[in-house]
Amino acid sequence: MTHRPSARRGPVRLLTAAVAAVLLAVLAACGGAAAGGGETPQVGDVLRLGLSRQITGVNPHKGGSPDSSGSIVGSIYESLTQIGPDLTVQPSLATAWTSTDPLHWRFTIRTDSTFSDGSPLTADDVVWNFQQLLDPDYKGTAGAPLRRYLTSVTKVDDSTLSFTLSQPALDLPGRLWSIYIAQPAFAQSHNLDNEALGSGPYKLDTLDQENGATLSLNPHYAGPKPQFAQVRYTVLASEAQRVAALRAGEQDLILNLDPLDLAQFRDSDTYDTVLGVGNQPLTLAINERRTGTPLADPRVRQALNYATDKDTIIKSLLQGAVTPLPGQVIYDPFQQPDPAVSAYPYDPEKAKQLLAEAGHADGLTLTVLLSSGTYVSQDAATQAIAAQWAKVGVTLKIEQQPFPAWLQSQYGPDDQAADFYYIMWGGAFRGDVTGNFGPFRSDHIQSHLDAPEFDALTTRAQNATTEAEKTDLVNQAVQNAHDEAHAIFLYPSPFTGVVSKGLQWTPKPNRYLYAQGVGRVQP
Amino acid sequence: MSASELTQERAGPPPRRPHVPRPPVSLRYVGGRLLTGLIAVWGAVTLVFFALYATGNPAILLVPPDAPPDEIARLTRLMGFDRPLPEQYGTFLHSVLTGSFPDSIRYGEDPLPIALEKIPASLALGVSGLVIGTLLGGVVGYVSATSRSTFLSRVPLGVAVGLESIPTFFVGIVLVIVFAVQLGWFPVTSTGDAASLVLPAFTLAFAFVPTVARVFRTALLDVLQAEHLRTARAKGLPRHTLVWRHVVANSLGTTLNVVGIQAGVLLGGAVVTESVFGWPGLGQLSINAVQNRDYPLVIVCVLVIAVGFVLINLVVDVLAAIVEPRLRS
Repeated sequence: MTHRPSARRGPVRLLTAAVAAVLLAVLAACGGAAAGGGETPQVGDVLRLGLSRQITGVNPHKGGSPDSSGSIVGSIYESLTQIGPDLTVQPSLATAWTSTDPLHWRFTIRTDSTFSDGSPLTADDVVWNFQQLLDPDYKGTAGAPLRRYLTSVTKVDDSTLSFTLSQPALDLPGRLWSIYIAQPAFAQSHNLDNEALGSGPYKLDTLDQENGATLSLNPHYAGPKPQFAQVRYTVLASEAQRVAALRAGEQDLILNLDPLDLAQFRDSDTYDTVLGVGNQPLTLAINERRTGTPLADPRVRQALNYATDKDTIIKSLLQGAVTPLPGQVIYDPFQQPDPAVSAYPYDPEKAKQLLAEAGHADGLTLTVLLSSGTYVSQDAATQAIAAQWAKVGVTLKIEQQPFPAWLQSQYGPDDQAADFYYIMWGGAFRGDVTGNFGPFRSDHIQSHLDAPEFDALTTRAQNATTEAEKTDLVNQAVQNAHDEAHAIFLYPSPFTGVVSKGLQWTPKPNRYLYAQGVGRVQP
Repeated sequence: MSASELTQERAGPPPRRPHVPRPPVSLRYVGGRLLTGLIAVWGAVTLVFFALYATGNPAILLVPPDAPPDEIARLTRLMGFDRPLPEQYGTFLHSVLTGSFPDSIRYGEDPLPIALEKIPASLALGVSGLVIGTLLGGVVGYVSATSRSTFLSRVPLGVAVGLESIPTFFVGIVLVIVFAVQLGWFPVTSTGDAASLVLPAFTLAFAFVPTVARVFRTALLDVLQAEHLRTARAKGLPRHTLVWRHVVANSLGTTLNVVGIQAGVLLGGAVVTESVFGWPGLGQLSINAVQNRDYPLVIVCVLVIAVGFVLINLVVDVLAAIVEPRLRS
């Protein structure tokens, strides 16, 4: 018989104490504090802003998502124009602009703007930045769209710049909103991906691309002084992280929450919730070019629009924040939709009839590809669409891939692309023809459409020389896209956020979270 | 008996050779292990290189949505990704040997310092997790092996094994909800300080506990049945001497080996934990580099992790050989 030495009291006591501690903690958790009931968020000296995507550098010549780099860059640098909360184009470095003829523009710029090291921002600096971006061997990707229509930028005098275009662009001031001006000497001697020297309200103090950035006031900023001296951007890439950080009171303002998650903050003493309309539409982008695809037939595309009950999805998943797209990708209040075009009503019988006419009375099997975790509510929304389409005999298979693979699939050959992509894209400012309609053209970098009429109409709209001509061509293009059903028109993206009650902030539907746009509630 | 034998007997036993202490492991052994490790590192990096490049072009993530279709080709050319794959691999190997890696796509600079900078944070998390996990696992294993109480001998180990079946990310989220959100004891968002380390360290530790507990328990039970223990007990040794010197000490060799294998994941294995808590370590850097298709940075992360893995395993093997002489062969 083997004798075991008796257990010592120490480890047993330790274990018992540890178990008791864990049980107490769990019990305390079950007791539950109210939402936001951890630490009461005090709006202190440091403004804490949450970002929902990884930072991809702070290079002013490489663009950036509004949900990460774009918000930081826009707090550090200035561009010639800026976009207001109502998506109107407003002055920034440029105070005025005029078109002397369809291919020539003059911009008047401020002469009081100063970089954060105290050096003045001059017309020569602006010219240098545009020259870099127009150079086809320059790595800054923000120049790619410019090279399509901009020939040169030259200095007329210290406060005047001349722009020469290769094709007319009535909306040129709006197109320049994201062309930020870096200091040439700094740009040539530093790594702009990780370091910054701009003339905006803030300067970059620290940057950790994986986790966030800290900013402080630019002492030489020529504009109105922001109310917060210090700003900390924190990357909270998952919905769970964002909700947890808010509930613990660690953030002052976070955007891009699932509308269903807003409910837990609605009765909070410390936070207000924001639920509104975003500036970009959500659609199912269609692959019309795969060999033998039934989606080449407009009747099938129309049928699927009729088979989609947008209202039910909006009511059940998006908390009624938006209304269905009006049968087009532009909508109130940010764009001027064509009043003659309206949403496809939910009409399963009509859908069945169109499918039968197209020779698919026995049903269809199609695939939609989602980008994992990219758009709020996308999983539930596509499942709802699949259930609705099943009622008219269409089987929608839902597949998911990480964002890079999802994007690569769209860039790939037509025959290897999915039938549909759940995607949000659109314009950045009012009247943005390229942004609003570019993704729905056949020649777009991610497109698998076959829409020659739409292409021709939007090209003419981009090159229009009067607003009346542009509006007329836009309306014709919208009507064509609706009739040909070149997309499954769903709904505007919901704009969601949670903001501390101690903050004063005008929501920007394009999701750019600039630090200078946030102030304190005045007593 | 011959005369010579008699003489020898009279002369006493032959003189002993002077005692030269042998090192626990030979230099040849260490050199061999290093060479094997080098081949393993080369294999890992090469595998990752071709796997990455087979998945697609990183330029696609850099193209703005309103760019013309030829922008991808332009960027691909500028970054050198349009060259034949063998040529790119040759360039890459050359860069490894010379230590001049191609710039990180996202950071725009040499990726090696970026990866090396993350090592202290990863080590802090890994070592904390390993120490906590080993101690907890040791206590659980000891109690389950030696307790007379059926409850204590089965429940703690059962709980530990149950924890093993729960995914790390889920454990992390539960800890965040309880201890950061509800109790407010620790921060949700990591700032890289000591307070931010507690929850991720315990999350990582929970992954170690079941393995350590099981192995330690088995080792203890083996020793408890050994003959020498009966002898020691018969000699009337005090209980603490019996337990620590003869039971616990003799059970450590196997356990240390298992801990050593677990230690190999210190540098890169905490990927999930680092991502859940935003801990600024090598695991988080690696996963974000993959998501952003920052190939140069991914490969450097793999290189650093692989080298670290080889070195840690070597250290553990040497330590195990010191603790357990039977392993020296």
